[in-house]
Order: sequence, then structure tokens, then C-alpha cells
Amino acid sequence: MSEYIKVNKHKFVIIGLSFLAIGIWSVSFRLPDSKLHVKVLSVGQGDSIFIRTPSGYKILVDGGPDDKVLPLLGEELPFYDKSLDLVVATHPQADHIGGLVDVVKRYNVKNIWTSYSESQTQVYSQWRQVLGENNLKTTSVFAGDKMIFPDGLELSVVWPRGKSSYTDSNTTAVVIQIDYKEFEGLLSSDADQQVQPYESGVSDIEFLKVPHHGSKTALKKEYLAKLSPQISVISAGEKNRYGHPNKLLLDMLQNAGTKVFRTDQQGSVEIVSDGTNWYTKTER
Amino acid sequence: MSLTATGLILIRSHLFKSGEGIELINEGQVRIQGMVNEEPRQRGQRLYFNFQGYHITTSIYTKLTHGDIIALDGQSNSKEQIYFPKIEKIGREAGFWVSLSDFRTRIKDKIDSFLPEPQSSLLSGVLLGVDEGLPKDFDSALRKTGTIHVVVVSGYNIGVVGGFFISLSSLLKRRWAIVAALLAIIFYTFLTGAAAPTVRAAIMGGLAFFATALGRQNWPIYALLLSAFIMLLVDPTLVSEISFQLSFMATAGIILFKDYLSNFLKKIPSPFGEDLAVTVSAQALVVPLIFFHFGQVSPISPIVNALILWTIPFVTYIGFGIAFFSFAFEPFARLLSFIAWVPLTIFIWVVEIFSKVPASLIQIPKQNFLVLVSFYLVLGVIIFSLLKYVRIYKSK
Repeated sequence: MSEYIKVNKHKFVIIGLSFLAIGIWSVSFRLPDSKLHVKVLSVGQGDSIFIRTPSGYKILVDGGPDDKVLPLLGEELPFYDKSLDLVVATHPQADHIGGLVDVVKRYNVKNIWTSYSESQTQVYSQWRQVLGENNLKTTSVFAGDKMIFPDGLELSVVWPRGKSSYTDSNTTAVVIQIDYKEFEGLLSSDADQQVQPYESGVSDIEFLKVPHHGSKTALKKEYLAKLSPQISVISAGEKNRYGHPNKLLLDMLQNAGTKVFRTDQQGSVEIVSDGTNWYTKTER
Repeated sequence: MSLTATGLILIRSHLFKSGEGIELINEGQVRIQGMVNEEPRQRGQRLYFNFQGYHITTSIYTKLTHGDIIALDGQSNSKEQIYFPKIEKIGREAGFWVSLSDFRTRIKDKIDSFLPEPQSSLLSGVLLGVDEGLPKDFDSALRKTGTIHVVVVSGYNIGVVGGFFISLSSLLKRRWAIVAALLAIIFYTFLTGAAAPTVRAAIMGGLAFFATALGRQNWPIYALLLSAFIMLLVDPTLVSEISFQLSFMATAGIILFKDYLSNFLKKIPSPFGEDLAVTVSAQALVVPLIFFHFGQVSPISPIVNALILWTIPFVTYIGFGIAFFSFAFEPFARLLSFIAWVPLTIFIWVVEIFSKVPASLIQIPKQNFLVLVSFYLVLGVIIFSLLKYVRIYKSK
């Protein structure tokens, strides 16, 4: 054995060094670059948005329907990093929290924001159970709640306004406004027409995650005109059975002059900003 | 013979169905209580398992594991399938198999907490033989490139495990190295859950491997034939099981052709040439079976396998270390998993690139006997003429 190592010394050194090189290279692409990254992940029919702040805080808003989010999240983080600073479960529906069940199991999650609404579904009880098993505390957030990061990024909750009785849990969905210097974005989950406008006076934003996978009732026309987003991203699954995104809504977006991206056609969509300028990257 | 075989199957399924705890309410409506006797398989958002003779499909949010005692309430169709029944967990059975399953789950959970996807489930696949957690896209990339076998424990994995200890021969006495290899193979078989197809692959692969290690030229094929013969004697219905046919043919192919092929391919640098020889020789006999049963074969499979098989021994040995240290000293297990990340990532990278090759699957209708027979005939002729050529060449 020791003889074998002696003879093949060079081989071991070369293999060791090339392993190290591959490791370092892969990490270098995933470290903070003092820019804000917001990536709408292509998780199929559902929502999942990954945010990396300029100094490298990691936030996941929803997790899509299943474990499809895991390899996508794996690509965003260095291989040794299994932690997230904030996870948001916008409301208790399977296409938003299904994947989060696996995420909180495998990742070390520091903060969890949720909607106040609850559900009788299997996936929701699974979610509560996993939270319990891992001793994770959640905070129900309402409009006015905020998380301010040292690098200047602000995440503000702009919906729900407060607790009220509901029949459609979409109306309880947590909507988050992203502010970084002059860059403004809205992650609107499934909060559709019924609850618009949200509790925010924001207008002329850069980025909108279109509510409710681009359903027919996703947006009020006048509210869209006010927001007037430069780009709009629709997160929907290829050939989904709901017919999302709706044709009328697509027309409305087009007439509003916003550039539309769709995860069912372009895969994951990323927007990168230094606070003044921004650009987009798509998977396909 | 075929009559007896059908008889056996019938009696068996009858025994299963009349098991305790099954209540037939009316037309297809069943209520069953009992233990989940296998690890449910996950695909996408669905969970599949066999339960007291029924095939159950449920949602992944019904988390179930081997050993759970459940009460199930559902509608069975004519094929004994029950879709999305009401399932209630009542308790948990104790015993060796359940403990083994818990042990495996614990290692898998640790690996999941160390590594991102799809690296973590690939490692669990190679090490524990669990292929249910594979991300869907990656799973189909593996199938397209003909590399899914690395996450389904096969004779190849058994050879990898045994080979490591034989390579320690210079350190240990040869006899002890062989004993260590034998113990390692047994341990590995249990680590992978010791399901019937795995045990058969381990017996066939292991025996052939030892016969090779002992160094008599014709022993491996005799060992393989003997083990297959004994298994068939115990259970003749095995002959119709796909996993049995594949294990047998792959092992036979490697025994018969590998040495010739590696000689032929020795210009290709190690380890790629050697891996190509292993893959091609195994596939020579397996490909027609795959065509026959599944109707599709990946023609790029030998190239992809040649490019990536070298990573599997690395992953397996480091994986043993991870499994051990995840119980003994976790930080070290984490460190080892970072080392394993590199070969895993190379593997994934190559598979993903090749899975994008257009039309990487050849498809023909299933169950075509003519193709099966003519393939073996052509192969026979080629081998025969090659052997003749070798003989003439040698006698010169």
C-alpha cells in the first residue's frame, strides 16, 4: 500500500490539485458580486424566487410544488453552503410551499416569514410537521413589516393588511416589495385583483413578478398602469392544466408596454442590478 | 413448467390477498391495515409502493417509510391499483429490516444536509441504491444516456467494492484481502437495502469477481452459471424477471469479453479505455434485452459510460467514509462530502451535456422476439469469427 502511494505520488498530487481547482472555480461564480440578483426559478407550475443581496444574503420566496427547487437552489449557492437567511412561505398552497418542505429540511434556515392563513391540506400539515421537527419558528408578517439588510437592500411586506376572514387563501398571500437604491420590484405571489392595490404607493417599478402565474384575474388594468413595470415575469409550468398565463392578461401586459418573460418558455429568469442599472438573463 | 410457474404466482398473490387486515367492502372498495413492507419510491409529486398485493399511488406529501403501520382506505381497479387512497399512520414496526431502513435513511439525511442536489441524491444512489430522490430532470438525463445503472446497485458496483480490498493485497495478506472484500460486499449489500435483485446481483457479481481474483481462467463463468442455476432451482419464476436477466447477462458479458476488449482498446488511456471495455462487454449481451423489454436503447451510452465510470469508485470509497463518519465524527464526514462533490459534479456535468444530444434514444417496438434472436445470432457469428482470427493469429 505505502509502496503503491510512493510509486503513484504524482498521480495523487495531480488529482488532488485538479479537484481543488474545480472546487475553487465553481465557488467563484457563486460569491456575492455587490449586485442584487433576483431569479425567478423555473420550478414548473408554481412560484419560487431566489434573491442574493449585494453583500451575499440569501433569500428564498416560495419553493414551487416539489423538490425541483433543490437542484436549482444548489446551482445558486456554493457547494458547501447549505444556509438561507430568510425563507418566505407566501401562503399555504402546494405550488408555493411544496418545495419548501424539502428546503427547510436540508438547509439551515435563519428566518421564516409566513402568511397568517392556514390550510387543511396534506402539504400544509407536512410543512408544519417539518417546521416542528426542526424547531423552526415562523413569523406571520403583515403590511408594514420590513427587513433591512446592512448592504442597503430593503424587503417590505405590502400585503396582507391585517387578519380577516377569507375563503380564498390567495387573498392572504404575502406580497414583498424589493428596494435597492433606485431599483424597485414587487414579488406579488398569488395576490390578484381582489386585493389590489397593495399597501404601497410605489409606482414606475423596474420589476414585477406577475401575480398568480398570469391568471385571467391577476392584475387590475389601472393598477398595472400605475406600477408600469419595465419587465414582468410570469412563473408558470409548461403546458399546465390551468391554461396559465391567460391570453387576455398577456395582451394587457403587452399593451402596457412591459417586457414579458415566462418561465414556461424561457426557463429561469434572472434580473441583476447595481441599484441604478439592471439587465436580465434567461436560461433558454 | 410454465404451468407450475403460473400456479405459483397465483397461489402467492392469493396468499397475499387473504392476509389479515384486508376488508373487502364492496366492488373494489378495500380497507387494509398492515406494515409498509418496502421503501416507497418517489417520482415527481407521486409516491409508489406495493402493499399487500396492491399497487398504491399516493402523493409525496403522505410521507411513508418502510416499517410504518398504516390503515388504507381506497378503491382498487381490475389491475389491483389503488390511486390516492386515504392513508392513516397508526404506528411503526420494530425489527431488523426496519432498523436497516432507518439506518439508511439516516445516512441519506446526512448526505442531504451536506451536499446540494443533484449531487446528494447521486451519492445516495451510488452508496445506498436509493433512486427515488433523484431530481426528475436528472433522472431522465441518466436514462437517456444509459447511466441509470450506477444508482441501481449492479454487479459493477459490487466489483468496485470488492476491487478496493483486493487492491490492498500488498498491505494485507492476499487471503485476508479476499476475506475483507467478501465482508465489504456483504456490508454493501445490506447498506443498499438488500432487496432481492440486489442480493442476486451481489451473489452473481461477487462470485464471478472472486473467481477472477483467484485467477483460474474458466472459473468466473462457471461460478456465474452455478449461482444462476441455484437461484433458479430455488425459484424458477426468476427467469422471467427483468432484473435477473440483466444482472446475469451483464456479468456474463464482462466475464466473456472484457479481457479481449481491453486488450483491443489498450491505446485509449486509462481509465477511459478500461471503462469502455467494461461497458461495451456488459452491453453486448444486455442491449437486446433492453430493446426487448423497454423498446429503447441509448446509442451514446458506451461513450458516456467510458467518460464517467472512473468517478464511481472514488464516489463509492469516499461515500463509505462519509457513511461511517456521519455517525462517528460529523465535521469530517462533511469535509469528505466536499471532496466527493468534485467527481459527482463531473459526472453530472457530462451526463447533462450528453443528455442534450438530439435523438439520443433509439426506439423500436417492444417484445420483438425476432430482433432479440437475430441480435444474439449476429453477435455469436462475430465472436466466433473473431475467435477464429485470434487463433490463426496466435498460431502464426
